[in-house]
Amino acid sequence: MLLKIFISLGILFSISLVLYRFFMKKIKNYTTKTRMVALICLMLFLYVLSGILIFIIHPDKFLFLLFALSPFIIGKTAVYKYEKYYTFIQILIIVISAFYASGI
Amino acid sequence: MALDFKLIHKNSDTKCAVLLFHGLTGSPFELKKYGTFLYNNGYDVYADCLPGHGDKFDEIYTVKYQDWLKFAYKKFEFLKEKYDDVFVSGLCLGAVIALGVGIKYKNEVAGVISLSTTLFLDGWRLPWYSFLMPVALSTLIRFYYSYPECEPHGIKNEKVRSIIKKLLEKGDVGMNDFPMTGIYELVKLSSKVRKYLSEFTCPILLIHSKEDDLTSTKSAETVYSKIKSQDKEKVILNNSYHMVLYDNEKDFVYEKSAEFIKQHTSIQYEVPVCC
Repeated sequence: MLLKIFISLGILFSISLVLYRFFMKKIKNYTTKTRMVALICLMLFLYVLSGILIFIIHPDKFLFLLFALSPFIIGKTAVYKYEKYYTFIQILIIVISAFYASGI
Repeated sequence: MALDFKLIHKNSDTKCAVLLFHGLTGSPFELKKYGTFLYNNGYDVYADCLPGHGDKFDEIYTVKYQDWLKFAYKKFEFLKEKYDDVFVSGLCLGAVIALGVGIKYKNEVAGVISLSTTLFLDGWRLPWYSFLMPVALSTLIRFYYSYPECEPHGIKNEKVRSIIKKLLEKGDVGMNDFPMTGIYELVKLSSKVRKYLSEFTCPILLIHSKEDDLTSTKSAETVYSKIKSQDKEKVILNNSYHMVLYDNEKDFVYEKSAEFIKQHTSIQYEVPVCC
């Protein structure tokens, strides 16, 4: 069950991040924009939480902890100039994590 | 849009200067009236645009809090060479920078006037989902979003608010949004300053509004309780929001600041000798 939640959240987060970053960033209605960002943050938060929970339940699956912490690691190292590339790397990691989780 | 200003008394021996720092996404424009008031009280006043602010709006995405501190240190050192007494004052982010200067130059700063110190982003204006802000700040999301500069614009007085709103629309007083990258740097700077508050020993005047929409009085209380200054005063305003320099109690803030400087300046102005 937790694995399914992890996979679903990862996919939803990736899709919403791509949509927001490349298509909806220029929305002028701030209320809509703020709520969308809050929703993306919530999905990311739950993705991280589910990843950590999986790691706690299965301590041998160390990769889940890395996947869960990847948004913070990437966020810490990212610079504005190369933000597009970092976004790509972030999405790639989440997609890989979804594949990895579905293979278990 | 050169908004920096220097108010220097010509043909006089002013030995006391006040260095002012503006808030996040603001500009020295927001300090102009305050600076003019202090100038009229006999002090030279300096206010420059902080790195990442001013003409090139994109720079706010790349500026680091270390740049703000370096800039402030440089300005302070420059003034300290010219003046006997240098006071440092700031609003919002500027207040946190002023505290940073006070920590580094604790034996040289004549006094700090900290207005609406923003050590915590916990004001009543923030939406209920602002608890997710740390997630946005510490991930890539901070590059995609800017928190809108919205009502009440930190001002309780409706008349002043409408004027500020018009100026903001024209882009004359700073940016219309708070980019998350700027907030991220402010949070990091606040955290760093909080860590070293116990090293702060200069005289300080803290002015904070009870109804501050951006940062609660917890910030001023934290500073007041953690610093080691013997000479410290905390004033809580009852009828203003965040922008205390433009709100209902602005005259009181101006007077109080001038009084603080007058009390703490080491320069004794010559008094006419009576026979």
